[in-house]
Amino acid sequence: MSREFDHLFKLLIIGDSGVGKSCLLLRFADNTFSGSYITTIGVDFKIRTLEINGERVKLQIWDTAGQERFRTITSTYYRGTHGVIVVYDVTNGESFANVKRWLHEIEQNCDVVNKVLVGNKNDCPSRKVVITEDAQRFASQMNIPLFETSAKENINVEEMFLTITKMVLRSKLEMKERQNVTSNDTVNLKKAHKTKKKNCCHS
Amino acid sequence: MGSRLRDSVRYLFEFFCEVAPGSEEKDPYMIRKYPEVYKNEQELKDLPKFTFPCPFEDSFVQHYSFVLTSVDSKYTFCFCRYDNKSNTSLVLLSHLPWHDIFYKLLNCIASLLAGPNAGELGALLAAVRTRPPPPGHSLRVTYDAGASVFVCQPPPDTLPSIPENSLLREYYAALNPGAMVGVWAALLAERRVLVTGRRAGRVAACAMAANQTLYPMTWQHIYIPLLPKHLVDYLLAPMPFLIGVPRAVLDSVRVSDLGDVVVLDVDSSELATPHRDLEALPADTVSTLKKALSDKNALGDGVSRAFLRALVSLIGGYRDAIRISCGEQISFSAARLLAAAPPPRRAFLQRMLHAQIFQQFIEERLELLNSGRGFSDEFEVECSLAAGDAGAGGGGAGGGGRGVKAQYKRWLRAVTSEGGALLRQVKDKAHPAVQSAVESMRAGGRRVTRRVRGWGPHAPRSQGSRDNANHSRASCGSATPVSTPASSPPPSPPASPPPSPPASPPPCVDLLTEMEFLFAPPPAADPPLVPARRYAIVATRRLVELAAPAPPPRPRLPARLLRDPAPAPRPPRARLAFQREGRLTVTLPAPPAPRPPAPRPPDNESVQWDLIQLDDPPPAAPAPPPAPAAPPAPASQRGADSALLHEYGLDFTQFGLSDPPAPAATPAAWTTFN
Repeated sequence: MSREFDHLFKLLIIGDSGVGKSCLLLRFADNTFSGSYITTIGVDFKIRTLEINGERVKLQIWDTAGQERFRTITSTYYRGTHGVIVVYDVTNGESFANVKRWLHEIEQNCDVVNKVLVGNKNDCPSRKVVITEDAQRFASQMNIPLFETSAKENINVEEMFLTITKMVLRSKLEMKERQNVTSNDTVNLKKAHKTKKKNCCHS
Repeated sequence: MGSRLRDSVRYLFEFFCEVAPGSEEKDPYMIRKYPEVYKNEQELKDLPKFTFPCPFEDSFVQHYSFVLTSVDSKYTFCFCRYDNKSNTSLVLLSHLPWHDIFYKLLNCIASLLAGPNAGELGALLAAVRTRPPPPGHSLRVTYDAGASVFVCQPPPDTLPSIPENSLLREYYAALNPGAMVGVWAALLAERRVLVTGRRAGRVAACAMAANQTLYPMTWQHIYIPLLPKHLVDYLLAPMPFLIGVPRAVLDSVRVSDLGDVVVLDVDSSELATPHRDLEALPADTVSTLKKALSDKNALGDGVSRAFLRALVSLIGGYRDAIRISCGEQISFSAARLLAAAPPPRRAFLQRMLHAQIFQQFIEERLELLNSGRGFSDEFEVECSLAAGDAGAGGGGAGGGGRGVKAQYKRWLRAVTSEGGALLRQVKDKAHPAVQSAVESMRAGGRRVTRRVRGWGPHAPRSQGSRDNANHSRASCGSATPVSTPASSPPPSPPASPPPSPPASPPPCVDLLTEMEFLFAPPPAADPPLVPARRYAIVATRRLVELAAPAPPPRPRLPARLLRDPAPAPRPPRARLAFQREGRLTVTLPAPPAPRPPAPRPPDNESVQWDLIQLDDPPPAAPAPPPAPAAPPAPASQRGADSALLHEYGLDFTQFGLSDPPAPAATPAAWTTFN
């Protein structure tokens, strides 16, 4: 059975409830995959297949319920994921404070290298409280890309997902390259059954 | 914060339905349901598929349960009774994890449906779908033309024991000690844990029982004790999970596709794990635990206690890491935890610091300390015991307990001199979940607390606004166990109406001992404080008996169905007081008379409902606290807490904290895990 993709990546989307994570996912997901289970089992995921530089990439983006109850999200949560999409609501300062705390934790305790910061609901300037300059300063300090999006108006959503996908793909290819240099093993992508590689620390 | 149970529970059960398994072509479907209109349609959409996650082969009646998680990460428990004759399952949804009570209710429903009075089903369900009885009370509903009666008593707040706890019973019967300890280690390491087996019911029970062994911590990640076939892709989740999967469902995926999962087979009691979590635990803890679990006579809470003691030996030292400095928020120092731990424990604790389960546990404890509520539960009792065993050297778990107490006293003194602003600040900012944790801690408190709670509803003022009828916060037994002291003092005379404070109490009487005495259980033969009330349901000629004290009639019931006599007069309140650095007044209120459904006035009325009234502003306190307003904890909570706080040798009631002013914000980063 030939696989319909070359790479499978699992990403997490984190942020307070109400910042529009599920709307972002709906914008992003393949239409063929529908149904939401976050209200019944507290977890949901969406799938989309993209083609980047001729490589077929299948993305699963996972979301869990009630993350705002965590003061910090510890490294065990990120273990086994390839990248993290961190979402706040530009009209809600507290949601920004939460993601700042979470990102500091990731920075200190996990080696998830691929992260993007997303300010969603960027469609009503009068209600915006997290100004772009502040968010950008923070993102630069953490060395991660910032996207201000609107899932409602479909602004910047596609760009954001493409960026994180490219980041994840690039780090995977780089890792493979390093492995090839150190040991002369050849890696056959088609045979690589487990496409996921741990990016996060094992603690 | 840590708890996944709901803060307030309005109904004993939320929803009932009967589900047929469908066929090859047809999905499982609902045959009947009650109530007809249910708020959470999304939950119902998949309920039939959860009820029949795979074809049932067994040809006998069986009970099983599963859990749904809502978007706020709280649990809904679903209890089922499969009948091979009708080939359907009866299902009850509830926010309470009271397995045995709902299994009993399902039996009542099944026997009613099998008899000539099956038409009474709606009336029976309407009568039972009421406020859950508070601890120490019971709900009695007569049905089947008066021939049968359903009695519901909240489960006791004790550690899960065998044979009473059906989950633990099944777990212990299915697994050998090695498998139990292996899963426990995997859960502490927050792995992706998959429980499988041929029978769906056993799979779910074992997944839930495995979660129970983590007490006092609570699993924080994905939790699906029974996964239906159509959701099998969720096994691909990269995050930690605890999922029960029937063998028939698991067979549809390649386990190799799932990556690093820990698989527990409850039929063969085999554990397959790619990790070395067991080896990562301190060897002495593991061997002690295995030995305790190998005891052939597992009756009672021996199994639960074995896991609890193992956790005390692993994380009980968290007390040593509580950082108390005057004028600051109490915080937790990871460095201090590691420094205080014996070297063999350090590597494990280092990993634990990166586990969500431990982080939430610490957060919860800090919130309780900073808010001045304190806590005492079975875990702390065992910690103290372990510290006592370790002797004055204090090398063992919780060895620094005494030091913490002294520091905590100093801290409080400083806080008091500043007018208690710090305490108020935290208290006021307490997350609703923390308040729920407080509730459950309290529910799990000492016998004193239980006795007190047993005398009346305990109102969660801070969140009661939405549902005014819901003043009894059901205590969720299995999640907040406590001990029944093995050596309880002999029953003293009941504490009912001593008319006036004792004339000259001993100057330095121990507050807790005093309260134990005051609240010692009355002799069993004593009549209830208020005679049982009866509400006749005229329409069905059946009786709903509510054991004393009766909760108010629900507004939902049609008024014409209730012949409600005039409210019983409230017995006089007992007031007890004695000297201990201020005056403590204990007020035993009457059991509740029916309350109007209108919003409750926050001040005088609420005081009447309180169980213990503490009004002892010390001379230093700024002013006598005004009657409690909406957000602060009710006086009774403070009273119970003050007893609990004795674990830390404290009496917050001295500080007059009933009415905290609203602070600006929570101080940033008062928990440090660096």
